[in-house]
Order: sequence, then C-alpha cells, then structure tokens
Amino acid sequence: MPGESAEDMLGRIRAALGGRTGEAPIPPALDAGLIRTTGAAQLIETFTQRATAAGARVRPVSMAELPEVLASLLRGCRAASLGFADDELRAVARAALVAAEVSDSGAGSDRDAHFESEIGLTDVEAAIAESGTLVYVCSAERPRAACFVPPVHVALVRKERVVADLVDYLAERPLPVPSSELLITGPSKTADIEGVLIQGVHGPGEVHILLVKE
Amino acid sequence: MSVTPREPGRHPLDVVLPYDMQPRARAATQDQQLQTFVNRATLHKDEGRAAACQAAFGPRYDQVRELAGRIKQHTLDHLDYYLERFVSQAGQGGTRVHFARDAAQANEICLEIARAAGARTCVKSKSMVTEETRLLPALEAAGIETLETDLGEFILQLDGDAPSHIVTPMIHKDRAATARAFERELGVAYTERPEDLTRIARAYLRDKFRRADLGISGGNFLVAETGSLVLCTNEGNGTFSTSVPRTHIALVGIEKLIPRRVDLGVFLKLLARSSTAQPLTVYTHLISGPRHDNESDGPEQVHIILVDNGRSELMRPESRELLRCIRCGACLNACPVYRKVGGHAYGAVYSGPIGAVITPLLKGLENYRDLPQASSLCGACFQACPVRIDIPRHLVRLRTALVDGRATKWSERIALRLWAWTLRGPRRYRLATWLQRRILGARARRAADGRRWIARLPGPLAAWTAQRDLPAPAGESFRAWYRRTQKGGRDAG
Ligand code: SF4
Repeated sequence: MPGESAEDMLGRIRAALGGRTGEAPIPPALDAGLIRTTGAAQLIETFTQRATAAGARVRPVSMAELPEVLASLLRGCRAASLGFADDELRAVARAALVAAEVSDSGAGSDRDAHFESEIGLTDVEAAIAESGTLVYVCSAERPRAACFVPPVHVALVRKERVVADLVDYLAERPLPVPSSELLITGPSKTADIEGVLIQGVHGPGEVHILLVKE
Repeated sequence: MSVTPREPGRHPLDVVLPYDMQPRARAATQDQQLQTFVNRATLHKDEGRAAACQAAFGPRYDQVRELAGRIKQHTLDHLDYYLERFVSQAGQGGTRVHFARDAAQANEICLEIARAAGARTCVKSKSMVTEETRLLPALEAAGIETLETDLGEFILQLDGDAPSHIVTPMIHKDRAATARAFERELGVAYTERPEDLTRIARAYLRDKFRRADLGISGGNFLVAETGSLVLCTNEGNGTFSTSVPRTHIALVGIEKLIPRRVDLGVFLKLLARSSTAQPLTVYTHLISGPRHDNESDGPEQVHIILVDNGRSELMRPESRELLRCIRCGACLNACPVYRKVGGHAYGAVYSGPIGAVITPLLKGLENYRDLPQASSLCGACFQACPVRIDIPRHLVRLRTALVDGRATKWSERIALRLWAWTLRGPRRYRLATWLQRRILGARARRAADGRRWIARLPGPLAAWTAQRDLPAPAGESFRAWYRRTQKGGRDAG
C-alpha cells in the first residue's frame, strides 16, 4: 500500500510539538449546563415542536390506533423496507404490511430491494428533543437502508425513548460501538440552487414520526 | 451566462504562481449577478447564524465558543496522543487507517484501494480535502467513473468548475447556469425551476448510488475515544455514499480529531448553527467501522486516509490555532471582502478570511502575497468563528512577514518604513501629516456626497488607488481642530 507509516506522520507532528506530549492528557471539563440547550421539562412537547420545525410530520398514536394509522400510510404502496429492534413494534408493522398486501423488500441483503421500496418503516434507538432528531442505530434487525433509501420514512418512536439533549444521547455510549449511528433531523434538504429550500433531494422527502404511547 | 470570474477553459484552481488576485477580484466586482446574489446569500446566512446561536445559548454563547476553542486547542497540543488513540480504536472497529504525507500520497492510496476492490464506479460526497488533492481527475484518469453527489458539487462537476464556498459550493452560480448544464450534459429539457432541477439530479444520481461499488467521503470529525468518523450532510448524499457501496474510503485532515464522544455535543451544535442556522444537520452520521457479520447491509471495508498535506507545518506554535477550524463557513459569510469578490478570487481551495490566512501558509507567502491584504481587519470573522480563531491577528502577522521578508515591492517597503519612522516621535508625526495634507490635498476632488476623494495617488502609490478611492486627508489636523473648537483646550503635544 502506498503512503507513509504512522511513525513518519507522528514524527512530524512531534517535531512541531517539541517532542512527545505524554500519555493520557486531560481534556477540558465539559460543563453540561453550558452546552445543554434543553431541559427535561416538557420533553414530548419540545420534541414535537422541533421535529415539526425541521419538516417532519409528528403525531401521537396509541398502540391500539397503530395498525390503522400504518394502513393509511401504506395505502397504494407495493414494497416497504423494515428496520426494527423492538419485537412488539416489528410485529405490528409486519401485520400492517400483510393487511395492506405490501411486500417486505428488506428481508434479504439485496441492496436493489431497498431502492424499490416506496416506504421505510423503522423504530429508533433514541429521539432528541432539542433538535427534533431521530437516532437510527443499525444492527442485524435494522438494515441501514431502511431509514434513508425509500422516499418516505415512517418512524415509530416510543415516548420513553425521547431524551432532552444531544449530550444525553452521546453520554450513554452504547457498547459495543455500533458500526453506524445516523442522527436524522427532518427530511432531506438542499438550498444549493439560489438558496431555494427543497426537500427530498437524496434522502426521504417525507418523514413521519408516530409517537407511540404506553 | 456563467458568473464564474475565470479564464475560459481553465479550472478555477489552476492559477499561475505567484498568484495575482486583481483580475478575478475586479471581474467579480463588475459582475452584477455575483454582487447581488452572493451578497444577499451571505448576509442572510450571517444573520441566521447569529440568531440561531443566540436562540440556543443566549448569553452563554461566548463561553460555549471559548470551550469549543479550548477543546480543539487541547487536541492539537496533544495531537500525537490523540492520533495514536484514534488509530488503535478505529482498528478495533475494523476500520483500516492509512497515512498520507501529501496530496499525491493520498490519491495513490485511494487509487490502490479502488484497484484492489475492483471498483469501476464511484459516488463521492463533498470533501474539501479531496479538492486539495484534486482526487476527482485522478480517479477518472484511472478509469473509475466518479460522480459528485452533493447537488452543488454535481453541477460544478458538469461545468468543470470548482467550489467557491466551503459549505455552499455553487454560491456563485444561478439557476440558468444549472439549467444549461443539465440540458447540455444530461440531455434533459431546459427548465429553470429549482424543484425540477433537483428532481432531475435526484433521479440521475439515485441510479448511480444503486450501482456504485466505491463510495468516497470526507469527514467533519474523528473521535479518538471510539475511532468514529462523523459526517454531516443535509441532502443525505454522505450517507448514501458511505452506506450503499461495498467499499468506503474517507479522506480526512489530521486536524479533525476531537478527544471524546461527548465533545460532539459541543461541536455538532456549533457547526450546524454556524453553517446553516440549523440545530443539527439533517444527516449526522457516526461511522465506527464496516458492517458487522450479522448485518445485512453497509460497506464491507471502511478505509480512513489521514491526510497531512501541510498541516504538520501549521502545527508550529504561532499558527497552530488555525487548525482548530471546523470549516463551518461562518467567517466567509461575515466577511465584507468575501461578499464583494467571491471565493474564486482567492485562487485556492480555501477562500474567505480563513483561506486568506492558511493558503499563504500552506502554499508559500511569496506565492499568495495578495491574500493577507484581502481583508479590512474589521474583526467580523473573529466574531463569527465558533472556535474563536483570531484571524485578524494572523493576517497582521502575515502582513508583517511580508514587509520584513522582502516579499513586498521596494516602494511599499519604503513607504511603510517612513511611516514607522514618523510614528516614533510627535514632531515627526506632525511634520509628516502636514506634508501629507499638502501633497494629497492638492489631488483631492470633492464628490457628490460632499466628502473629498483621491482617485489617483502619485508615483508608486498609484497601485493603491487602482481598485479604490482614498478619502482625502482632513484639511486640518485633529490637534489643530481640537485647539480651534475646544475653548481653553490645551495642546498635550
Ligand atoms: S475559521 Fe472559524 S468561522 Fe471560519 S470556517 Fe473555520 S471555524 Fe468557521
């Protein structure tokens, strides 16, 4: 492989630093009170308001209402991609696909299948109130593509998954570190052409968030 | 009409050294569209940034910036430690880390990985480092079909053009230029509607994402603690490029390191607000290695190429602070000179105030003598910077180096020496300003606004007035005015 060795690069850096700088330096203390922009009060209200501001459509749904709401979102679709770590929510989503006669295209590892999907149905690892963000962590049950390849993303979010601030999510470091954590804040956007804001350039142009009670 | 002030047929980064800023700066100031559009867009972004930071942090904003600056400075002060830690942590996650001394090595490593992976097609997300290394032509020369996937970069690629802003690369181009490029290169019907243009690009690139076997990205942060690469995009092209193809290569400058995962809490909040007034970019992607065995998608290989390319030179104590930069673009949006001349006038990858400082340091002050002068030293960049880089101080340092190092023309050097001499004593100063009033006052013409302007300076000073008028010196000195108007005022002489 071309390139240089780590030692070559470290050598130049150390020369500029005037020698090796020693082991385990202590970084500046992180004052969470300083960087936190949202408190624990009115979590769901804040999340709803910020996610809406980012362009997502948020609505509260009870477990009982969920099948019907999913059926209305799936109407007219032929194929969907699923991504659920939560067994109960996955079962509800699967049932909704069967009822609406929509095929589950994400079951295999065929990447083309996700590109054929018209909708991605997923749960989330966490949701962040301060910015209205969804956190999708990939795993065996959650293919990466489900949340960003289909043109519509429907996220099922249990209310207890909502944390106040970005720092709250980051501080709870999941172990082992997942290979991919995607923080999603609203639909895909661009303003590259004369600053005109357009949604859905590569990622989903529509993001629906169903806040699940109980 | 393309609004890019550039020589026809030439890539904006192909400049003759030493670089003369004047032709492009003059062309830009005479370009009506660039003047109105860039000016409007940057003003809007600057106001948005200030409002978003204020709304989020209120009176704590300066403390947050100060903390961000300190964390970055700390990382740079111990860069050897954090780099080693990153390499070992990333390796544990299955990422392969490579080291590139310069642009040529970075491209060679990239091509070697692509060859070994048998890659024929590549999708690329926006990365300033790959602009530094000119990776795109290198890939194409190697027979790998490569597409820029950020909408702005894609349009620039179709036109053989280069970005003029770190965050909004095609800020200098309008919808008509886009429409013409699409009609010509993609064979679609001419349309100027941004919605339609976006839809065309989406459909075209979606197919490329689906088939590409190589994805290339840059990186916004590298987390030493976890070996993670962090990528921020609004369109989602970064996530497509790094998650769909079998092989992902990221080219990242060594200054992107931060110590801890929680530090992202500070930097992500500041980056999104400072760039585009958002609380977080739409897609903020933490990538910590290739797909695990039980996962059904994601890259089989993740390579990170750590790029030096002059950065270890900037690590010297006097310039180290400049490596804190998180490339948010706020200083460009805040800068009255950038707003006037646009990004290409800087003649290098990085433009605006930060470019005016780092380009001469990376490429040689003798090659970019004009850049440190391309600032009014108004301090707006320092005010806007989320990591508190004192850009004006560095500009002054470079100007001093220009004067000391004979990098300046003899005439300017003599003028500056004379000025320094006059400042050493009040008598000399009074004599000099009196002379100045007599000589320059004779040349001044009264303008419509009632003020007096000098359109041409004499002799070797003429260059100063080629691009601007100089306000005429006041008819009497401040001292004289003070004595005359303040009854009983005393001359502190
Ligand atoms: S110097 Fe500061 S304001 Fe300018 S791009 Fe870098 S971080 Fe942003």
